[in-house]
Amino acid sequence: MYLLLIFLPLIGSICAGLFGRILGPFGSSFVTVICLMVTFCLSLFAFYEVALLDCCVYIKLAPWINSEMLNVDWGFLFDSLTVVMCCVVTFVSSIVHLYSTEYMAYDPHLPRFMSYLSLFTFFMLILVTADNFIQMFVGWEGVGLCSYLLINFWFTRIQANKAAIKAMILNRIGDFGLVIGILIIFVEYKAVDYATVFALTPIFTNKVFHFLNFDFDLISLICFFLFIGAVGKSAQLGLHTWLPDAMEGPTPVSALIHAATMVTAGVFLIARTSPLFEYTSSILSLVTIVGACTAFFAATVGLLQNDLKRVIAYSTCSQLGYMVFACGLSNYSVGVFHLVNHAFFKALLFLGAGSIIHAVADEQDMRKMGGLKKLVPFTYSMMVIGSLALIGFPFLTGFYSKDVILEVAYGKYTLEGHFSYILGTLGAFLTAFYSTRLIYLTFLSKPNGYKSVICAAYDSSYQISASLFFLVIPSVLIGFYAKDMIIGFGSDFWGNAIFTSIENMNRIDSEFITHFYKILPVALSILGVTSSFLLYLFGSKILVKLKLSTIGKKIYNFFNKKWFFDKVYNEYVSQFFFTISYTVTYKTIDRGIIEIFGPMGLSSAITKKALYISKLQTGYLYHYTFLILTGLTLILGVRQFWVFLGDFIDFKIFVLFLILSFFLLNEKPSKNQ
Amino acid sequence: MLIFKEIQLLPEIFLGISIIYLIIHGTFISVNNKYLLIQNSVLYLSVLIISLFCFLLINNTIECNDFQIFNNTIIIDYLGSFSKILIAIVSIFCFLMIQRYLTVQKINYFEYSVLILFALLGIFFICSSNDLITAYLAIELQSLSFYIMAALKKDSAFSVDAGLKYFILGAFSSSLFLFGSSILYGVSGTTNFEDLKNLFFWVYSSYDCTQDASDYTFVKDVFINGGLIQFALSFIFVSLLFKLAIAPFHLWSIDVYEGSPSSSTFFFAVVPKLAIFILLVRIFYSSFFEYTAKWRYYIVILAVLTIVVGSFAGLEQKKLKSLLAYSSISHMGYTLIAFSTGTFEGLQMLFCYLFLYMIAGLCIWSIFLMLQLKYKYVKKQNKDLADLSSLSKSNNILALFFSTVLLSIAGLPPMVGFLVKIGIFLVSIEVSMYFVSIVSILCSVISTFYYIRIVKIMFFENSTAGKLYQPIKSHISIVIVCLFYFLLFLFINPTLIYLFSYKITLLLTMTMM
Repeated sequence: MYLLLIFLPLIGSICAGLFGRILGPFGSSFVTVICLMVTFCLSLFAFYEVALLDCCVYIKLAPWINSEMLNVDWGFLFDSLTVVMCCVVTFVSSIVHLYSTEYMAYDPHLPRFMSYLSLFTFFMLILVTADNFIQMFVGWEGVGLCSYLLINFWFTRIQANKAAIKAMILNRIGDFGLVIGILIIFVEYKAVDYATVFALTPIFTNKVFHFLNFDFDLISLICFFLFIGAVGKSAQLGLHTWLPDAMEGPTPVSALIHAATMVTAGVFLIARTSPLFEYTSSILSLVTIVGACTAFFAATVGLLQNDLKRVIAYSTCSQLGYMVFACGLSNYSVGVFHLVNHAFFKALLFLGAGSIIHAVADEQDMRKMGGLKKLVPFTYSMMVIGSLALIGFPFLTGFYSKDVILEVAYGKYTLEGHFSYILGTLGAFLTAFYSTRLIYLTFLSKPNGYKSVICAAYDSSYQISASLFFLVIPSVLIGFYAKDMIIGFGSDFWGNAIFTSIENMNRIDSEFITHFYKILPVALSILGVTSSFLLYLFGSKILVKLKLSTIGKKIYNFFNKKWFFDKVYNEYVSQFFFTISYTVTYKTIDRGIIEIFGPMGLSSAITKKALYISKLQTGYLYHYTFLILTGLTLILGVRQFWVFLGDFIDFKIFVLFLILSFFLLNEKPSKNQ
Repeated sequence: MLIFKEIQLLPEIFLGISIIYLIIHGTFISVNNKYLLIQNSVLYLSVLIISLFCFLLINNTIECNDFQIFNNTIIIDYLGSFSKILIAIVSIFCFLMIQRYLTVQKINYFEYSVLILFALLGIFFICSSNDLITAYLAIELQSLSFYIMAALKKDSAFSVDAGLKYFILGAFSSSLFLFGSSILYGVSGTTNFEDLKNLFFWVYSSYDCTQDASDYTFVKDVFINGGLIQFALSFIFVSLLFKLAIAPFHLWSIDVYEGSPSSSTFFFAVVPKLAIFILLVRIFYSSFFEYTAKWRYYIVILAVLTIVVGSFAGLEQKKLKSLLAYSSISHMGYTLIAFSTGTFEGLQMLFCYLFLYMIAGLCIWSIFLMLQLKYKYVKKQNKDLADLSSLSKSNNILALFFSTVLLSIAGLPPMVGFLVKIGIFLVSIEVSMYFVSIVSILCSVISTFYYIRIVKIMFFENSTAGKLYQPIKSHISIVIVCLFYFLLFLFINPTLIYLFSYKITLLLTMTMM
């Protein structure tokens, strides 16, 4: 059952991908959706058995790499963390599959699309169920690849190509860090499976690792590089720029990959390697600060975006920041809880956005929408629920996790704890503000679109509506019902999956923080909703004036251009690398050095030498005799030479002679020979 | 006269007597007034003789023991008898292959077969020689026959030229051998390998460096530092390397291979190398093993030089025969690397490589002799590479076989040539000769180029004028197919060659003790 849970999506993917031509759009959609549904049911069973009955499942499938030193198995580890992720992934994925069958119905490449989606799910499951770092990395790269393929699904669009390549490259940076982390783990632990590494970690504290001529604390170094991997995948500050651009892909892809599952892999990684992170307080602080900054930064940028999907993308980025700093504060369970909740309501938001985009003839600019409340009432209600859940409106899903995150941040009573509390609370306010702005501009304001478009707007059909409906249920309820189980105080839900050291545990402290700080985020959220609503309803003139003033323009530009991250990256970083890679690596090394010492130069040198050697073939007896005598004399001479100098001279020096002989005697053979 | 122990030499005695009978038979028939052409019948008789020789050898099972007969000048052991069987089988194939060539080229002398038999007799004696003088005489017997074989096509200036060069240079190298042997005799008072082994083994091990008594100075100077002995050994070594065509002494081989009739070249290239290596092993591994550390270095240098020369110079060759000659030179370089390791595995790989070299050489040269253009000046002996250009259209299967065997000797992975070549590199890495193995691997890459070029010419060259090849007689084609499948079989089951060489090496090292 557990293997079927992982491999069913692969089977579906192969069916739809390789035989899509035979199966047709309907057939391939049917196969993949059914496979995913069954997988979801299986993961529910797995959840029941593993999480509720406390039976960890550990499957060793086959040895993969089996050398003396490095032993990697295909192994699958199902503990609470894994099954929670499995449930989320398969649930959202099957909903998205169902949704895509309608959303992409008119695309001629629907089988390919379904195949990629299923393949993505398979790799995501490999990622979460892996029992060692290498296999996890397979899944990690696999989801990266599928993300690339899916962003680039409409490969005739140049924007999609650019976005896909950007996602790939920025993810590579993160993956590079992850690889280095895994390599350091291998070098020091001589093992890459979780069980061994985590068990050995307490012994390796205070061990020094020599890296780039500096001495670092081993665990800190490993965690630092793992965190870089997480930064890349989870779009944290610095490597976040790919995520908004990835919205060029089809909307179901954004919902599945860039909201619910793949981008949370970084958070999953941190939670999974919590036994490592717990031993390095410095990196935990770094994680907290980066996460908090991301949460705040993305919220500010989301404030002034005009593209519907980009707003949601920045909100995803911001929420990922919350999860990451929750993990940085050693409250991994809270982070994962927020991950789960976020997956549901963010998928809902994205799918709802897709529905809207569908309704208004593929228009994504919010300024050209408006007035859709009456036209697409079902989608409207879904979007409102999703937004409220995101804002953290009391008793909806987001409320239970986000508030806990901010509480534990304050209850940490450290500098970075307070820092993240302040930024997070401000972020909550901003989140409320832009969510309301989104709802207002899309649904409530006066219609701004073309008449033909607005008149033709309609609510989507069964599959889309059904998927939205299925997502609304957990978006409303999961927080309330799962709270006690997942983050409840004293709950043994996580078992050994997540490790929190005793000095880092602060759930009790967070229960006793001042009431004011507890209520502040919610109050700010509601304030944000109200202020945004009122401002857009009555104060649009003030907003316009504010925007057109000199300072306002600058601020607007600053936020709208995403704090000029892209500009800096493009103009300074990538331009620099472009120049370097063209002039140095391409022109000097590839076409220069390698060409001269490689294909061109070497082949001509060799043929030249070959000519010399075959010229020895004079055909005269006395030449041959002379050469034999010379050879003999040399051999005798070398022997004598060795008697005197044998102790000092290495015979490897002859290799040098051999190489030199390539470059000597290079004068041109004269023509009359 | 023969005592019972010496009956072990029966196969050689049989061969010698048969040769004499064959000469008498041929002389009496061919001086008839009718001048019968008995070339073919003598050739088949030779095949019969070698087969019977083979039979006698196989009957005379030598397993783990060795006999030294004729005052210890001849040794009968497993190494010798196995190599003799192998050489005999290979030469039976040679006889079958060259028959048509001789007819076409009108080499109508029955002496040709007799000469080959003489050369074989010499080679068999080299395999079992246990004394420097026996070895010298055997080499001379073999070489003299070879000189004549090279020059036998009297109407071709090339052939006469080749014979003359071979003769003069061969005599030169023999003199070096004799010089070295006489110095050895002067130093040690014996020419027998067994005695030399005992002498040096015991002297070396009983000599105590801490003692500084005056009795020991002579021993120290002569035996331990071994200046004079090594001087002598260098001469012997050079003369044997000359026979193997190792790099600075290789120049004769190209001229001789090109000039002499292809049937003789076939023999020169394939048959005698194993015997010479056996002699080398007997001298350097059993008699003078204590000096290994001292001779290793320059053997390594020569081996690398040989590989470089063989791989580079082959690039410039336009003639198929000289290309194959350079290829055989580079292969000798690889075997020399294995020889220079001085380890058990090195010795084993040496034999593996040589066995495979013989089998693959047999394949290549047989196919080479089969390739005869239909409309072409008959007397043209040599084939340009371009002559192969439409072989794949004229005789597809033959082209396929040829290219497969070429790729095998180039050492491409799904062939047995790869296994033995990588074995050589592994043993050289095992004794920490990293640079040597790197250089030889790179040279192997370079030499792959000219093998692949032949394949390219056969399959992918567009020629305007189509060339047709003579059809091959069915019994010959069966032989070629058998050889080819034997090569394939060796890849699937390399254990065969591995086990035989293992056994040889094991017995050899046991007797060394």
